[in-house]
Amino acid sequence: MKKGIFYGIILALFVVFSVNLKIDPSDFFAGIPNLAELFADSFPPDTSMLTIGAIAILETLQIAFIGTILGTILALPLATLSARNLFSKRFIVPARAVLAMLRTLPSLLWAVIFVIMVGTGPFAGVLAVMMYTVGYLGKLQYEAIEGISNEPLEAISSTGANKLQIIRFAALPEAANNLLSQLLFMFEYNVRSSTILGFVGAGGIGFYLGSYLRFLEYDKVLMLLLITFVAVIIIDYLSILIRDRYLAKTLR
Amino acid sequence: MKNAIELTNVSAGYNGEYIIKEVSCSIPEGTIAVVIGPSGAGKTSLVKLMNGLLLPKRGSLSILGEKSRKNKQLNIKKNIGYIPQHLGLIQSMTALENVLAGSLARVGTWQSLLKIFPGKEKALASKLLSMVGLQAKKNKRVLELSGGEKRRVAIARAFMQKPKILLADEMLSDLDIILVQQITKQLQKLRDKFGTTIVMVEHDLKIAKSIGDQIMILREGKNKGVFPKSAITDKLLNKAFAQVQQ
Repeated sequence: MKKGIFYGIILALFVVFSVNLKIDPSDFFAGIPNLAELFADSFPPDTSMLTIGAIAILETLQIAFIGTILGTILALPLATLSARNLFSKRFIVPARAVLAMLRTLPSLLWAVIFVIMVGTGPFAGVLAVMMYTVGYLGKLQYEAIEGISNEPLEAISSTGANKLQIIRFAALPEAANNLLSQLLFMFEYNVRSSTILGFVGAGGIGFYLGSYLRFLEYDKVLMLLLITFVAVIIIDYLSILIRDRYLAKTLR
Repeated sequence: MKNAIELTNVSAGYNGEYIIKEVSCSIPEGTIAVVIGPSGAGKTSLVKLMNGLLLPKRGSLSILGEKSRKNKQLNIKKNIGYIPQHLGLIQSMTALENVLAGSLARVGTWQSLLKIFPGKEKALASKLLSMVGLQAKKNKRVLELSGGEKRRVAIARAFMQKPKILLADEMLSDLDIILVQQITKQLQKLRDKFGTTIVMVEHDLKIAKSIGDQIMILREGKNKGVFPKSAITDKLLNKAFAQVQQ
């Protein structure tokens, strides 16, 4: 009975919100010819964009890489302070509040802030990726730390180790697999989100995507999207290799 | 003889529920006390109480002459070696690194964070691993070791602390009879040479009888009797355990 009521509420909200937003499925089907026109304008992709696109996507990858590394380094202490099995409310509440605040803005809005602060270019992009990473990855990290078994923490604590030693010798090693997995996930996510940071002047392939979209040069846009697609696939594949190699080792 | 551990009407538990109920007992320094009882009797909680991992809600607890209080715990803990029921080893670290963790209270914080341990600590860790027959596997990660080998690493880590009190929760499970004999001999040596007080939770009544100077029976969180070694007979143990098991 309770399940029925729950699903009923979900359905009712779905209908009400759809009506409120004037969502009409027939608009989707009516728009298919527009899509066909878009494809027609996009094909064939403009191969003269290959070199510019390759250089730009490399810049995007570098933005994502540096931003992820910096974000991870800053996230870890905050995540540790946020873990209930390590610290009391006195530390947890402010640490989690900081992470939540940082998570509130998506990286695109952070990019706007940093473009205003440091000017256009990849540095603004790096800072934007870093800030969002701290907030998002920090949360994943403290959840991973809280998920470890209590016994290693108790065992190391019982040796008379202090808090820093307990974190170094029990909490982080026990959570290491999850932390690595999350780091890889965050990097993959940041590669995708970094592709549009250039829309607001924060460097990378987004600058060209935004420019050519505005000028309706869809064949160039398609080429850049294809380059982005290939880059993301390569990154995903490398991530799988790293997971298989490192995580498989720890399970053997 | 001074008491290493004294509990006076101690009650303790989790989330408002008492697991240990008004338990009183004294364990003299330099003796081996074995705690037996059915599953759920509170044996692990009793050991955690003695280790400061669980604080008494009522009654008083004195460890090595100091009343157990939160702010004193760090000072007491370094003198207490602890082998948890599921060992609490760090799977991704080697056997040697796990044993070295037993010296953390003696090594400087920043040194230890960089995993730089003094030569004498490394030598002691190697010696302890030799004692438990794991010298050849000291650089293997714990997750690559068998259950019995892991247990031996945990024992070596506890000894690494040079403890005044050793608390062991089912320390001898999964070990073959020869190793059990070796380790019980080591425990007795530890007691005789250093005056270490040992409190063990044990299921095997034969081991309890052979090694314990006194045996405490715990049931439903209550102390059902403490028997000195001289009063321990097979008949008494079987009767007490049968009563406990009913």
